[in-house]
Amino acid sequence: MNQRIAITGLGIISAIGNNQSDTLRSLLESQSGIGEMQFLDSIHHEFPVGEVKLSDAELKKLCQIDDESIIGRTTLLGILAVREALKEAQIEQVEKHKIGLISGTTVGGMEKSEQFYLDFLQNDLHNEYINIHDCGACTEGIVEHTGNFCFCTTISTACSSAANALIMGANMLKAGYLDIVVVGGAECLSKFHLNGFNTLMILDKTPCKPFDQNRSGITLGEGAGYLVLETEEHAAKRNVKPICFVSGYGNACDAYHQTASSPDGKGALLAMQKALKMSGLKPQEIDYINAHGTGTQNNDLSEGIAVQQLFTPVPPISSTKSLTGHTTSAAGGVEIILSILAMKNQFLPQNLNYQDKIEELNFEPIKSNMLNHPIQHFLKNSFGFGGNNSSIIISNNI
Amino acid sequence: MKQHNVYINGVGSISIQEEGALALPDWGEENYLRCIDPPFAQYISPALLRRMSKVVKRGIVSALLALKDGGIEMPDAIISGTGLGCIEDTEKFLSAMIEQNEQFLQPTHFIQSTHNTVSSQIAIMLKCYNYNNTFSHLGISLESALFDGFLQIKMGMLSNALINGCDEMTPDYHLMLKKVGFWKDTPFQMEDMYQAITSGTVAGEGCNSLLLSNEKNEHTYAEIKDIQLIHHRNNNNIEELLEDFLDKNGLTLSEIDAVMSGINGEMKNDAVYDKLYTEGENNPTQLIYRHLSGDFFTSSGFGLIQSAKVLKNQNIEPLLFRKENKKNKIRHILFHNHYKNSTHALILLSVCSN
Repeated sequence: MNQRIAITGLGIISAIGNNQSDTLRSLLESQSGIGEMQFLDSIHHEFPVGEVKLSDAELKKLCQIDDESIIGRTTLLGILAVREALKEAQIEQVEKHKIGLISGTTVGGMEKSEQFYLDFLQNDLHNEYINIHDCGACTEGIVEHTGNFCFCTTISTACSSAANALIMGANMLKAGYLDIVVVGGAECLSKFHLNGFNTLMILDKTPCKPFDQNRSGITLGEGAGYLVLETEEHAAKRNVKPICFVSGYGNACDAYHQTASSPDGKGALLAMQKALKMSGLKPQEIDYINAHGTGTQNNDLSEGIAVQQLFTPVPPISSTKSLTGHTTSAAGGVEIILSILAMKNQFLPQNLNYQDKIEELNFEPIKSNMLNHPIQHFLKNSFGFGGNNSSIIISNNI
Repeated sequence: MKQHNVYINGVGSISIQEEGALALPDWGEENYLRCIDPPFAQYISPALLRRMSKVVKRGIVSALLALKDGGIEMPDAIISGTGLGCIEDTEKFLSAMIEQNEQFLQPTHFIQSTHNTVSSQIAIMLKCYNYNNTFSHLGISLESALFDGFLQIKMGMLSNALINGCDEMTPDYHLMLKKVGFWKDTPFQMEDMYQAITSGTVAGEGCNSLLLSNEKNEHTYAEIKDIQLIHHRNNNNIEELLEDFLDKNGLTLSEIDAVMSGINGEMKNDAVYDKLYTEGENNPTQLIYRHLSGDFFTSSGFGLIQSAKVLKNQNIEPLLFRKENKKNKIRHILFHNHYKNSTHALILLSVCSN
């Protein structure tokens, strides 16, 4: 039992709060962070977004980083969340531990590259941003401002990146390669993503409506979410009480289409089955599902069909993307943390903007916050382009 | 926990090399070479080919070659590493977005731009619903993927895993990296690999795949004894960390027969290896590969394949030598790659006698 993977620290920033306590308040009040874009310099103001309510300059100030520093928004979001997670886990000096960082991201420093791309090719005005374009540079940037990690890598499986970072981290702990690992993801809004999703015609012009019959797409968001993992034994040795435990996880591939989910939700079902199998739990022991629930016609139906196949009846389920927007690579981290906050405060977070049941499905999502509702185990789905599907099961520590 | 052994049972490669024996390429004025592509139509149906970018096609073919070589049709896992992802499609979408001021854009290039496209397209082609992952961390992207597969086989979570390292070097990205000093601005000479006195390296690209398995059989090239990825910003103790790594595996540096290193003709890069492997006594034979593959974020895949072949065939192709210090049977090869001295990958490969 003492090889159980404990979660001992959380760090989060998204459209609904810059830290855990602000986030919890928004979550309890069902206060959405979705609105008209203020910081992203795009012509597409017809699409609402879930922005972190801070400019790059304000983020740098909050990070205590010189305003002149060459650093991307994704990295800044990551720094804040990693620092918060380390603090809660009582890790003051990173270099004193055998500790790693595994971070998920997809667009990397794109929000800077898209501003300076022509300069990169035509002149030497912004060459200093070339080195921060790629995903790995983002993670290295986070490390530079959070501590001397002895292991560090980056996972890029689109919207399931952070969940896959958790899986890799947990495996490394079990195999004894690390004592502690910080896992999660960070991603800022970019014109690249906004326009990309727009070409697929899967962006909603109103705040997203996951699991609604009339849902019409994604609302993009941004943020970062990181968790500190260590074995229960190691946490006990450090005298740190686990917040909760990672009971199971599964990664499967839908192997259907680069950007669409299969009609029968095969990859989703396999990922959930693997996670359940590892946890040793029965489907009826899952008290809450935090769905991937993007709000597209395709995802919510496919995910819903997979959930229905495994769970009878379907436990309370919601997509908190209706509050934060879809934070893409960070979503796995951000949404596991939202669910943990709900679990620790004994409520089930609502699925905003829901009206009508999806005809093909037999369940409805949570329509309003259900208070005084204990959660012992919850399941988190995180799916990505390319059919990279992952599910995580978290169990409370009471 | 029962620990399983991990073997390399298949390899596949698309590189700047012609098929057959290794040859030193003519690096030309630019020190920049692109892949010699196989006839893709022999491997991928025309309907699929039309939509795929170069790096995806190459990734699929190198993966199929490794599976065939290892005698496996359906891997337990597909794990890729890529430093830049599908950069050609990314550039196309980005340019169109800027030129057309975010209007009238087509989805094709966006769809193919995500880093996980190669892993995902291999899965779709094979109808492989198993574990699927993609790493993108600069010069250790492939090593991260290899480590993920190695770890899970060792722990018994997988019985085999297909590992791919894929990168393309587009002219635009080559130009960008030129501006930040990545490439040599003097014509490449073989002497650069022996004693680098200039900065910069030579640019290549490629896709290299390795099939890992817990089973030793007639396909086996070598055993992967251990892998350690070390991030050591601000530290200068790589010597100590290397010693710990070997010690953990019951070896000392003097028992290592050959080191396959990431020497690339860039003086700062190469100095790190020289300090470790040329200044002591009883130095291992030094093997090199980047003059044959070019340098790119996942070029280590090419070097790993060469190392696996050396162990299997007990024969070292002359072009791989930097310095021959030992002439005995090659039992252990230490594969060492570092990226800007901030991240090191140590991979211990050992011979398998059947």
